[in-house]
Amino acid sequence: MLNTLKKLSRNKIFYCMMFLIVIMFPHTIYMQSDNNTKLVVTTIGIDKDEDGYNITSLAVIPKVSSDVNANLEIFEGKGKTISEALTNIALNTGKEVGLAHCDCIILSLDVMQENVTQVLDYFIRTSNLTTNATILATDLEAKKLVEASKSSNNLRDLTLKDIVIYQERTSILENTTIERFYRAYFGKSGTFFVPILEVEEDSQGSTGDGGDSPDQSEGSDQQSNSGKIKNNGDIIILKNGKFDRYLEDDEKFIYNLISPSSDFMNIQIKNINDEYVNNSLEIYQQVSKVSLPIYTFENGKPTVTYEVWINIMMEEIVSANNFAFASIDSLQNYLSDTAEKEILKVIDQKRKNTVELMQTSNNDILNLYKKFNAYKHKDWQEYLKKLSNPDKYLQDVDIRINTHLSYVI
Amino acid sequence: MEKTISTNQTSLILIIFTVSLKLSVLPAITCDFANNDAYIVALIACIIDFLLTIAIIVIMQKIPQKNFFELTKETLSKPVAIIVYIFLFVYFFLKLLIALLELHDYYIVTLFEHLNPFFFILALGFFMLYIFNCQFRAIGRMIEICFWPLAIGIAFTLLYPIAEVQLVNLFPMFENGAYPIYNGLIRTSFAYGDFMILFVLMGNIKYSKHATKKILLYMSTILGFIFNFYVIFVGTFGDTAVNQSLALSALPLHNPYPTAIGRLEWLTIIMWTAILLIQISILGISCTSCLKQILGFRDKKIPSFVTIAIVLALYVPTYLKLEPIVKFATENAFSYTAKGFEILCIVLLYIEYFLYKKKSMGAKDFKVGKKDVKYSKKTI
Repeated sequence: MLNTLKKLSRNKIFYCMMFLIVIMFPHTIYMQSDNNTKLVVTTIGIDKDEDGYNITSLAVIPKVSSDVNANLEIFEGKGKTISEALTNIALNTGKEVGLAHCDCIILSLDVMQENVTQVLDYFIRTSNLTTNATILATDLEAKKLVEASKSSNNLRDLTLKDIVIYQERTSILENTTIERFYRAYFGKSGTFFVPILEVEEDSQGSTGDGGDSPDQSEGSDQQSNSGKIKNNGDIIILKNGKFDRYLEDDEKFIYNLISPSSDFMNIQIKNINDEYVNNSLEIYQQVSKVSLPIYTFENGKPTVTYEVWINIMMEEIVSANNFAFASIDSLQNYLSDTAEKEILKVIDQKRKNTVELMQTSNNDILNLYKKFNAYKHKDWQEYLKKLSNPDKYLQDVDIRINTHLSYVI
Repeated sequence: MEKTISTNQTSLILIIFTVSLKLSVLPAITCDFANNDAYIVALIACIIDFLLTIAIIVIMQKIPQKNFFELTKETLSKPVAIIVYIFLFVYFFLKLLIALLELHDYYIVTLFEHLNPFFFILALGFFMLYIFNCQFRAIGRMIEICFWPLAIGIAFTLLYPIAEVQLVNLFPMFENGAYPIYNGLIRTSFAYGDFMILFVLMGNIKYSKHATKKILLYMSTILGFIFNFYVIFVGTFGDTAVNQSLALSALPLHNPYPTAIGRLEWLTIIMWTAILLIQISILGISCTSCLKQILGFRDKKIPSFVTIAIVLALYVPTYLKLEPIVKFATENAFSYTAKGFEILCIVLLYIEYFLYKKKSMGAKDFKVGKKDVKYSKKTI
């Protein structure tokens, strides 16, 4: 021991370390734990108020309890700006609002009627929040969805982000994060999708409205009961930061079909009569898919052709005639010629509807401007010059889908 | 006389020195000048650096026993050598200042929410006090030991975001013509020019067999990595790349799946901290070596104290002012001056080499006869 100390005493680094420790120790010994000074917010809901905004935050307050729900608290703050509302929460809770673990920002449809960048401006500038936070919409108050999220956590440790991530695998949605929003906003298309969730009243018939009692301060709000999260798979379109419309069913189908990132898809064909079934509804599910877009110009008009190779398998047959199958072979899984033709017909019909909607509403959902500009720059620029209004570049764009179906037993 | 470093250590020092200033704020700055063609700027800059590195190594190997100061002193004159080394000192010093400011910004943005400046500067001061007195061999040996963990940590920056890369963000190339690329190349030139470290290492390298090939192989690997990084950076962020001011922390943390965060990106973050500290060490030792030659000291103690004193004197007023310093370093006038100096050094090296060779050949002829005989052996 003495020898070691003698060795150390000859080492300059040892003296430097000791000096640093002596200087820093008095400062660090009185430092508080981050748990005591920070409010760990996991979800934020933003509603429009008459004076500004009303922010509802779902925060984790660690407690000694086996009940997951007991560790979650809801805090509200109002202000003319987002910054003011968050400051109010901090003032009333005595903790700085920490957004490092915030992975969801819920905006009500009211907020989306105006330019959403006004609301998100705080979040894109603060270094507290990563750009990975997901943006969600709700048709009613964002506060209700936050409350429903809290009660859902009690049952299944479920978060809103889990719901969105699953929906991204079954639709055209892909990373509905703040960073992606701004990328779309500053791009030429200006189009962005946001999933929209609802809140269903629970069986007791209460949506868990606030539970405000006179002796509770504005900054804290005890929620005893709230509704359930309901996801109908709806998606809304934001155009230049504002709510534009809902995505139609045909559009959802087609964009899901051509999306390279979607893993799940169902194809339903009705009134099938063949050697296997009579007058039945057949449902096929996607097993795997490869989608390859090809950008070309035909007669000076931009055309994007999607070559889609999709493996499908029979999921369910719903027979109109009380399961009157034409033959025993129909118990096996198959893809008849009739069914295949019907599937292609359904896809083509939905494609036409989708193209028409895209052109009439002028929503560049597939970000075609950027893609044609990137891959067919010269032809695209020439095409734009010919247009009387370059902003209406979708008017002559055609989308084609060549579907190559394969059956998996 | 400094202890010699091996070829392997030289190559590794060159790698760490090359990668350091390129992956933090430079990607966003390059995108600011060249938009989505930033990766083309990186490619051209890397090719230029590679070619100039070849040019220097070819000469260095021919006169392995001479360092740049001695060579300049012998062939031109001592005042010229001192002037060149003053400029070299300023060159490395400015890079050191930028590296220190980047280190601080990196700590603030990625690692700590609140960082007491007093303790940060104090700890940094002690670190510099120790490391600036070391020789290149100590740094070389340290890098040899830590190289693979550092390499793996940094290599992960290419792996995380691969799924997020969108080819559409990389095209069309030259959308706004060649000017943005030229402008980006000039304005970011100060961040390149990593071959300048060879001028300080010159004369202290023990060349092994195939030394040139080894050094160039390592150099080409790291330049290839840098180019790939820029491709992935621009491909991932596209139009918003200009806002990702700390690229190396933005890329691994750019993950929309919260459960995936915390898996491995901490490795990159820790290794990058280590690389920045090694970069500061190399730059500090370079400054100290230059100052030692200028002032004619035998050891490094006083030059290192002087260097640290100047660093701290400038670091305190420039604290939290990375942006104005970077703005100054990317001004046209400064960029042209810095690049001009780099090329001048290479030209000087070639001139000095030819003068040295001429002198050597002339001295050989006189060696044969007696002192006052003016005839060569051939004549006799």
